[in-house]
Amino acid sequence: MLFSSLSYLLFFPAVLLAFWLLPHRFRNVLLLVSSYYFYMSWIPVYGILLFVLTLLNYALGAAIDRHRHHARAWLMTGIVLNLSTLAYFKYTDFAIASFNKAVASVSPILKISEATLSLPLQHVLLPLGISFFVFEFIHYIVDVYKGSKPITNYVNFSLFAAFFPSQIAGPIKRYQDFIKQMQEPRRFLSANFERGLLLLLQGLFKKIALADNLSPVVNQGFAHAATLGGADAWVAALAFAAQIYCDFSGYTDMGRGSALMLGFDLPDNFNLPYIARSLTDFWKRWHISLSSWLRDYLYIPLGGSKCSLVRRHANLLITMVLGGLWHGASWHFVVWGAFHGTGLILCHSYDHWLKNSSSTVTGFLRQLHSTATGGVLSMLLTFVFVLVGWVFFRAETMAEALSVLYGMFAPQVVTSGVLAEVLAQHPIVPAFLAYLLYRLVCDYGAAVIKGLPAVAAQFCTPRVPARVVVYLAFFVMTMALAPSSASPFIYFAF
Amino acid sequence: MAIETPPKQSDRARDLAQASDGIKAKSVGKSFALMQGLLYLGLSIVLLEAFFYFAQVGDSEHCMPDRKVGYKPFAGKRITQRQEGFGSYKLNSFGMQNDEITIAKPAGTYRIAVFGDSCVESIQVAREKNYVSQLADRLSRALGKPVQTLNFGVSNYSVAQDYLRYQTLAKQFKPDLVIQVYRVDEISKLLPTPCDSMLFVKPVFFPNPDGTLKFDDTCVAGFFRSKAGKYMLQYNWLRQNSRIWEILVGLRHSFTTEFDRLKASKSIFNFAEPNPSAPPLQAISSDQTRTNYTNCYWYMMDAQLKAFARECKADGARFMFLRTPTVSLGDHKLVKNYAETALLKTTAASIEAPVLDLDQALRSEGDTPDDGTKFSSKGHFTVRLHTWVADKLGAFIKEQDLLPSKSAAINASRSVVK
Repeated sequence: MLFSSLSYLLFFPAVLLAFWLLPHRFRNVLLLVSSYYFYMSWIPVYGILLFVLTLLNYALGAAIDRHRHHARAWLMTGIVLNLSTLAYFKYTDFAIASFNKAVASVSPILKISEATLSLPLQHVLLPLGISFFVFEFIHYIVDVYKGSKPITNYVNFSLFAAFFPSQIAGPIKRYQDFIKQMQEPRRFLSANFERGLLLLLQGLFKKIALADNLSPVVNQGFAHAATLGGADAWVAALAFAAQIYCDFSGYTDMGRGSALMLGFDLPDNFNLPYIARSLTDFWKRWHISLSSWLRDYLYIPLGGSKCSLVRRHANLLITMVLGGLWHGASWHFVVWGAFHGTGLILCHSYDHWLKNSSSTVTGFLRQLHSTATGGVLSMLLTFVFVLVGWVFFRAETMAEALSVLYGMFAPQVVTSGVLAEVLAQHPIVPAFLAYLLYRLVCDYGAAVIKGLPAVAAQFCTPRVPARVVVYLAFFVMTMALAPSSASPFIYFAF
Repeated sequence: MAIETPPKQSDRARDLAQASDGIKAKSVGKSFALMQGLLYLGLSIVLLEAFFYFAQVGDSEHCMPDRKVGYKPFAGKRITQRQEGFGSYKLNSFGMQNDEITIAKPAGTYRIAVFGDSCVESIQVAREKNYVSQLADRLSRALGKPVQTLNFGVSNYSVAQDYLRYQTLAKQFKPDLVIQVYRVDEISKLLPTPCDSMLFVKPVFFPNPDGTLKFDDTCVAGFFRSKAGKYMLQYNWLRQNSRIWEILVGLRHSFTTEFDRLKASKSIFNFAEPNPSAPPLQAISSDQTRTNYTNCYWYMMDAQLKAFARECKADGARFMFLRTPTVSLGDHKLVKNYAETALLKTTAASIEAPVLDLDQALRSEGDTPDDGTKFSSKGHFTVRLHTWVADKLGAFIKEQDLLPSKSAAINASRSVVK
């Protein structure tokens, strides 16, 4: 079930109503049942996988806590269990295909038949959200191992893993924050409810009106990578940068909004990532829950930054490559991760050089960084780097990625016209203008109202009926801008 | 122990006054909130309509109910179509997919009227790129004099509706040549399909034994008596003028469909997307059924085509058929109905109307499924196919000398002036 589907628009109000009507003690059970229903509405049998993994991790958490002298063994068992489950469902076919490719390339040299060594693909269907809940389980058992108190109530633990607003594509929750919210009796707060509703509507707009309208442009652009003109290649790459942001942050907004309406506060995943002034800054703003997970459970255990420079850089590269591979079982994700890892190493080296050198050049650069021009230049440079990274991320093959990059940086023609029709077909510009207006109202509306004369201020401060009208108008606008066919969420594939 | 002293008379009066002020303030607050809500509602409607107008969304509705023909395009409405490619245009004041025209024919100008369904109407491509418009350019260049093409195509129109459109609208423009586009499987639109959709409401011409036609509008009258028909009539103004209305109707439709799907599903875990491998519904499913149906009902089609051609000729216009290809929505292969082609040619010969068979011409290029270069996802012509049709049709009209000679044209224009 997609958050942007009509099914969800029927499912969620029903759950919401039942949730607030039920006494507190039944609410978590209701949420758990609803979450399993939400999950199993796709492929029912994968509900069993989620159930079994939940049960095992619950038992492992308890075992780690109870048998402290064997805790390390239990922890390793848990990590192996979770990672092997993820590996089986996500990487089996990737490993087989890579192996077969390697066999195909060496078989003429070894003079053996390719067919004798190559393995058949298993065509394992990836369970939705497995990458997210497996990371949550690992976080749980690691933290229990480190001394945090385990969750003793099985329903609460199951709900932590299955909670439908964050089940499929995060944010990756921390159980310490979530368990507190599950235990506290939640009171209906109209302010929270309204904030949640607005987040839900905002996410819906980002997904339906922005990301789904950009999707055909991206698809068309990357499908004709070899014939793209310079302008087309830039449009396709920029469209993907906007699409992936709107798609993923839209999903997160909808998840956070739904959770907030149920009285839960989920962590935010994005903080205006495209205004980042460095790659380090970008990773503090993009998919925050994943980057902080990678930092806490991979980069720091590897040694983090408290080691030699070479080791630190190696740790960064390993973390980012594995982070890339987490996104999908394909070499282009590995390249994307390595690209970002290299970028982060360069970024750190540059900072180190700037800090420790006292030449005229570094003096000038330091001064430049403190000016607005320097800020804008850093922002642009970071954005172009991220954009090039997105090309590797989106392209299905390396050849496709290189074709788009060739079009961007060494074009043969300005435009080959492959995107003209698809751009005309989708109301992308009006949708972005509407979103810009919405952001302006949200960010500066209150300040503007404050400066108005009393009567005008009173009129401009909407009461409940007026707010209902505004929300309805926002919803109608979103639906009006929706393209005829919806695209699946990009992060569902991960 | 604290002893409560009874409140004084003046305190009581003050409390009462305060309480009454509080109630009044509350009710003023409520009235203000309600008034503000109404104001915001009005403002939202105006702003959304303006936004949708500029964003070109919510204006795909293009037909209104008509008690004679069943339905017809709105006059002067701007239409934007985004489902198959992009098309945005304003219907002219006669409700035609044409630039504005005058009833009186400009001196020395040839007029060609083209009749047919959505493949003629061509809302999927820019107006200047559809074959009707392209034909005017080609013939004007080839003949060295202005040629006006008048697009009378309307979505899902049958031959009977084309004939009625000629009688009620096109006749007054005094066309020199009338082209009846007869696409493959046109016969499937001969009889009305009973359903709630206005685009399937059709009057029918039944042939009398003496060859004359009997007009039967039972289906049209029935539709206007039905709930769906009354709804169409009731909300016609909103359908024509409000983009918000169109979006709300679309939303209602989507929700109803979803509810129906959920109600019909056998499993509670049936939220998955509809089965994409399910074949799309088609009027007539097999080649053999199509042939049988054509043979059975051709007497009706024959009578309608002959009557239409005779009336055009009586009005001084030449008449021809353009046989255009159709693709099935499932596999995107060309639909076969050779029986229909043969019968059409027989009918055309009997009334001395030439036939340009572009179905055969396209089929001779290969019978492979279309890859989206010639036909859109819903089977309409792409710009490439429009250009191809315009080329072939232009050459055919010139070759067959279907436009009147120079002197005849001058005489015709003189008679208009008189």
